[in-house]
Amino acid sequence: MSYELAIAPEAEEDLNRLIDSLPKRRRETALDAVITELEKLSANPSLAVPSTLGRPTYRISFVADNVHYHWAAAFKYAQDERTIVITHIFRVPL
Amino acid sequence: MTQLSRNAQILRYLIQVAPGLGRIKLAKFAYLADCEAHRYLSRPISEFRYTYDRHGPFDRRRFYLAKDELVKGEYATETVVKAGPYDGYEFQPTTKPVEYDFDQAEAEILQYVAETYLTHTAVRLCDEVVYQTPPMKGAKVGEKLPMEKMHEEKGTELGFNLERLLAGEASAEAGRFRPLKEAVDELRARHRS
Repeated sequence: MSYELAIAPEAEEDLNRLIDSLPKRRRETALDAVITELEKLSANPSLAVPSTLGRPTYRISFVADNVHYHWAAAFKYAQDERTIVITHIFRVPL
Repeated sequence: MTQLSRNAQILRYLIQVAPGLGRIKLAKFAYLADCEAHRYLSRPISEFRYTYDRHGPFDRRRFYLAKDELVKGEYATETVVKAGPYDGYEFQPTTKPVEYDFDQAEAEILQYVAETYLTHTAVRLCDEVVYQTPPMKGAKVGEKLPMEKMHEEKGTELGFNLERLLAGEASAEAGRFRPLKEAVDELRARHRS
């Protein structure tokens, strides 16, 4: 079963800040990667791992301009149990 | 209602989440909660000042003060249990109400530590978790523990932020969210212009 993907306003702000931190020419690639990777998660949430304070977290890795980026998204199931809500997106230290 | 000291509140909260804790685990849970708080909030939750005691990180004086405050105030009971040739001590919360002044992030950390390590034996908890924490690495018995070493594990400004996560979760619970694609399309348009 595939879940709907949604995002909380705080995570939207996180994403905006992460995108802003990139050089302009890499932003489009990064946004495409976020969608592509999170669609994989929505198709199979078991890909996530319990991470910080036990929260399910999914790693988003992508390459833009030959530079490797590693971000992660924490999420929560909405009350309808059909939607995954992204609650925080952050840079992962290597 | 009498206000418990900060350290007594922490011990009581941990006992409430994990009733039946012994002294060693209780002291180590408080230490681990402070490690996590340093990592995510850049500050401790408690007022314990840890040194490398014979049995690992401990603030003997403040721990016993807080423990006695709980027991004498009837916020917790302490029972002697036989563990082979030794006497162990087990804590249970009483029904006496407690007013906690933790913020949400602090309460999350305390609950996480108590739930995560509840099933560990004291020996496993010490060997696999407590002695592997950055402040304990390279420390010597009798020394004050450098808790600020946990700050090095904190991410950058764009890294994980516990308070932001909790705010995002509160929004999700309250139904404040929208389709991801809609948000990303909006961002895309903003960055193109």
